[in-house]
Amino acid sequence: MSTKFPMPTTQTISAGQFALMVTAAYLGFGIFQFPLELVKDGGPDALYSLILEILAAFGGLWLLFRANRIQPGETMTGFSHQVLHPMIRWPISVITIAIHSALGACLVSNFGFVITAFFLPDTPDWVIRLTLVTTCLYMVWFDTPSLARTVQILLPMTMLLTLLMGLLLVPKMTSGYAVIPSASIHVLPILYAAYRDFYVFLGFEVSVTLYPYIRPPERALGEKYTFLAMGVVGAWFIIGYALVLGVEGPYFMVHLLWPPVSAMRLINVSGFIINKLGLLVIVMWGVFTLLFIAVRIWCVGHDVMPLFRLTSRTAYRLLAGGGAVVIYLGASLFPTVHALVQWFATYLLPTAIAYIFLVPLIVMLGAWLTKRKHQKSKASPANPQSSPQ
Amino acid sequence: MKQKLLWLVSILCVITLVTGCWDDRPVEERGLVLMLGISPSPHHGVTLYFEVPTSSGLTSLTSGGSSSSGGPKFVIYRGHGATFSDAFTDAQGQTNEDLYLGQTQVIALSTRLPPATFAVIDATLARLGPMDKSADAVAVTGSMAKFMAFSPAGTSLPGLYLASLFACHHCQTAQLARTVWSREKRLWSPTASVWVPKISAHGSTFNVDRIVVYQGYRPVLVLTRRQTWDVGCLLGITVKAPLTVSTSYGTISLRAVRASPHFKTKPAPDGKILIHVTVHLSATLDSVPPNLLITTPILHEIEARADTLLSHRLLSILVTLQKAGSNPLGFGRRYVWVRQDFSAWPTLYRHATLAVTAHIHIHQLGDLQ
Repeated sequence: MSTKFPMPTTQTISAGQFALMVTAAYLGFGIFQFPLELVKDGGPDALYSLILEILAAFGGLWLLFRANRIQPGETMTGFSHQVLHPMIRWPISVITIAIHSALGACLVSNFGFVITAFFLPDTPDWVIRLTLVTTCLYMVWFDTPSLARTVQILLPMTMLLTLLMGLLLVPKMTSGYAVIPSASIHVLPILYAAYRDFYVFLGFEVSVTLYPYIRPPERALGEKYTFLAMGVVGAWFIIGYALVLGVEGPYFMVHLLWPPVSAMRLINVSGFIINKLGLLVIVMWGVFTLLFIAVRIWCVGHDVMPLFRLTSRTAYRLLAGGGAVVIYLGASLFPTVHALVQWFATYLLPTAIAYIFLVPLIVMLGAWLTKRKHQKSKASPANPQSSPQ
Repeated sequence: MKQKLLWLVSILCVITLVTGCWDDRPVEERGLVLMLGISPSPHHGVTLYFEVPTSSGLTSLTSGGSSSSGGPKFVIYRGHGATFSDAFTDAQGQTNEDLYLGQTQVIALSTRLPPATFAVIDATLARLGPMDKSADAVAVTGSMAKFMAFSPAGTSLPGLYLASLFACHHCQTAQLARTVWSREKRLWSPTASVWVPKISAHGSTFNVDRIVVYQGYRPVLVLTRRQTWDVGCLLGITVKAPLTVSTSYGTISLRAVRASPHFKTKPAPDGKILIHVTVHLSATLDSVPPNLLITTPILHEIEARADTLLSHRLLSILVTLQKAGSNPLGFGRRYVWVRQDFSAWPTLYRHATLAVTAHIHIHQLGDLQ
């Protein structure tokens, strides 16, 4: 049984689910390294960089929503054939799919390294990657509403638990001096650190694919909730920044591979049934990872479908399976975490940032030109159908 | 039915994969290292000591450590090697258990370790993922072999004894516990120096009332008991320290002195930097000369005398530390961080002008007027 594309009402999600899915699409990516690059490049001005990147993320999300409003009922890949020349449309669609696959591959690889470094040193990497990708494929198998409900249940709970556990680090904040930003502002380091740390927000471009699945009357509310969720995540990151930097200090932190993981490992509640409570939270961060990768696989499926005018659920599942395989194989390409970080910073980060801020502008420009062309053709006397408005 | 079967098989596959069976180690195959001792080897390498509880020792834990039967409670494996890994391998060859550092409670570091060797070992410890960074770090000035073999009276496992001692915030004059983590953190700092408590066997017990301060990886001073208490005041870690003050009324004794220090580092007009330490202390009046009736003016005079005494003493230990090139109090952390000028700090600190202001407040008088 096939379904029309975009999916009928049974495939729609609520405004809240949309906001949480967009949040899940970026939250899991940066939590393991944050705020390493921020402090390394921003130095004592790192907090300014963090605020700047949060504002930039708001700006990027606003741009994407503006692009979505051109054809709210279709994904951007789906409606771009109406407004963009194939020479522009195809590269953008391919880059969209490539970015989703690459982001997924990077996180699978990164989380695999975290697990083998701290928990399962003797377990082969491929087992951890395969487990992650297989679980994520199962999460997306029943398509959008099912994935949205999973996100709805898991994401707020894990965020809250992480925050509560993180607050247990407050007594260990012996380097609070580094949290307060300096009075002197150095513009270039601030901008560079904001750019380098923007990976914590990479992934919210999922909104261009997910937007048509919001129930039509709730679309404006969906945007509002997504901004609200981004504000919450921004505050969450500011608290995380203060905790990790305050506990580890700037000099030691910049030498660690996964500063938040190292900080959470120090949480030890004496007398509690679980000896090292912080370690449990790190395992729970696997939830962020799973949700992030699942949304990426979902995106790959739903971004490829309109390219070939595919509409059936079988096609979606095959494409999602293909996306999972690509993510798994992509994750296997990084021999070390250093290679991963290097590749990400050189190629993926600038590409994804350029995508977020340029593609909506290109699409909006294309839509404006198309609209103008239509208006001209309607206004032309040679067109007998035209009527003055 | 076919689809359900497919999902069942898939779920079973996932469950099998997530069990982590590659890392599964039955507890009876694990040698839980409770205390790790690190000392220099006679042949320019390192000697590691691993305190591992025996099955009898583990059983004694459940019986409150009172079990006296069943032979030795722990065994020490000693490994030598050019590197940490070599020494570990040497020790691993002496046992049929998997030596596991994930439950290590105490890491004892010999002060005799050459700085270069210490630096390499430290980097190795920092890289060990499963290593517990919340373990306590202690310094041993004497023979590591004797220290590791020592077991205090009334306890079966020295590693756990020390861990419980450091976990208890009221069981020492000052909270001297230092985690491996905090030591590693300080080693990377361009300003703060490492300090760790010194442990020695004294009679039938451990003695923990002094600290060793480092300059980088080199131990430079072993403080006396009083100096340790003074540094404890400057660090704000004193719990029940005593203070004796000579006044015109005779000798006055204070106890349970707690301190709350504040540092300020700022440039001075002469191009140097000024480090001003203000310490607010609170104490309980312990003993006064017989027949001395405590009044408010007398109390103020005692406090003023104690302020002067403490200011001098604290300044004296600060100057001693400054001369040794050690900065265990972490002066200048924000000063350097904001200016990002790390290389200038050692010279600045060496020539810094130090000032201490102590304010003691006697807030408890006991049950006597």
